[in-house]
Amino acid sequence: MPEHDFELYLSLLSRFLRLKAVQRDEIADELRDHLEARLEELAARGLSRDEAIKAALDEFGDAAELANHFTHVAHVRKRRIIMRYTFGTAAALAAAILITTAFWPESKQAPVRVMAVVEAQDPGKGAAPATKLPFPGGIGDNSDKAVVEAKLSRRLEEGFELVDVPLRDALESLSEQLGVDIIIDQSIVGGEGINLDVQVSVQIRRTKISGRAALDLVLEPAKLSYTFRDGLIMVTTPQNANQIQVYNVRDLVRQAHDSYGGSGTPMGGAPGMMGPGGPMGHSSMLSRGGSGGMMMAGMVAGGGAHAESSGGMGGMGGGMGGGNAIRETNSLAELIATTIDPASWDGEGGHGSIIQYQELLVVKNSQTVHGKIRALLEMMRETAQRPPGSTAGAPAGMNMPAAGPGAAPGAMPPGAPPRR
Amino acid sequence: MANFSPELMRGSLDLMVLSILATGSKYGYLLQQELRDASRGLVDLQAGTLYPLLHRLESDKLIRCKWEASTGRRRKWYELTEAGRKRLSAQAREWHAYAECIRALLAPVADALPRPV
Repeated sequence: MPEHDFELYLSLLSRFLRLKAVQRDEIADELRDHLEARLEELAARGLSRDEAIKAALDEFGDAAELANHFTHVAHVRKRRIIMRYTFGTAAALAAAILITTAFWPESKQAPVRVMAVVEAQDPGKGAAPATKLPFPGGIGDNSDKAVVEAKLSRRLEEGFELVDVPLRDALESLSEQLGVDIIIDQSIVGGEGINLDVQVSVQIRRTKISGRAALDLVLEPAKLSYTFRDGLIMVTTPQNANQIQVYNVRDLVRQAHDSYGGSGTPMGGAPGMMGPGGPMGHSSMLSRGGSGGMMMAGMVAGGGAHAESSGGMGGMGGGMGGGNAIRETNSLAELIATTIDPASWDGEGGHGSIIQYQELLVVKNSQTVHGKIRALLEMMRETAQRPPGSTAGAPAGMNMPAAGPGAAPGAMPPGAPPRR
Repeated sequence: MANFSPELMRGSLDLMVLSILATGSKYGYLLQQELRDASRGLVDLQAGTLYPLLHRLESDKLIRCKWEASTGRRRKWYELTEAGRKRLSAQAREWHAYAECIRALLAPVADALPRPV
């Protein structure tokens, strides 16, 4: 006759076991057998039933901790079995990924995997790009973040293989390999469309992929993304992974004003203005989303009309007339939204938003997009500094955002959300 | 477990469990009791330590399990595999050598101890 307290303990343990139902039941059966045998013995020794039950349970210790031990053992085993049997499959899969990504058309917004592969070809630079790289950006501006990014850029020593492992365990195993804590954003647990129990299968045996690529592969089936917080990685929705950054674009806006409106002031600002105005309040603004994101659609569509409303810097009233190929605008927000990852913005089904408020650009989007924006602004500043007519270097530079940061190791996006 | 420090025991728990299983297949509870008896009460492996350890040895293919229901109660029996037997004899040899070495090293201080182990 099963003891109520035993069943309570076992069901608690079961809940902590991140294993298949069959395995959970077997463990419960085995431990129940032990508990009952122990109870009999202790009772025979003269302990009261309550004392005996308590003593028997105490010997197993904390249910959560015990469950962790079992889970860990099971997953180590799983990894090993996979290694043994999927040698050929994994090698073929890895080769296929490499081939696919190597020839992925760049105009299609290089997907996360391409970025990871490109980065892997140039190890070391991804995490801490030298300042002289033509494509700065994506650099963590707080040291915690830089440390995590450096770890993500490292390649996994043991290869990476999981077969039908629940997402949580896959993350745990990856966390062990990376040496970085990975937590799940508790605010998304139980949310609509969030399935943290989705089974993950990844089989990369021969290729030592980067931690970032592995993380992307693990998160892909659940359509989740991640962000950095206090030296750890937080898994969350692509929407929450978006971070708000504020760009000071006074110089660029002034330039437009000066050239077109003819106020006569010399080019103000100069490159570097962006520095102080740059990323603000990184982690503290996490998942606070929504601040005015709705304006985005209006901005893209509004074109010239919007320019007037944004603080009177323009005066040009850029037109939409020329169709897709040729377009004139003096709205920096529109320029960015049409040039960089169009699908990531609100109006196009994404979750990003961009608002130009007087001389500030408030952008909510993924780390990837922020990196591209920084690079684009830099290029615009650089180009604007050259004398008119001197096109040398500028066209090449201006082409870069379209090519995507995959082309430049320095712009490796830290928080790229998985492609949907 | 006031007998040996956990640090001292940690490296040899596998070996102890394998050696108990060398005498025949056992289920967890029985194994625990036999280990206690064989060590004259000095090694009392807590259940919370024993079962994860058994599962690990099983995943290492050093032991294998069989579910037995003939007694009316579903019970999981463990037995040594061939690999487990080999591991046991190899490690047992190593441990004898190690124990000898430690004994020799500690000989000069043994007199100072009330009860050398």
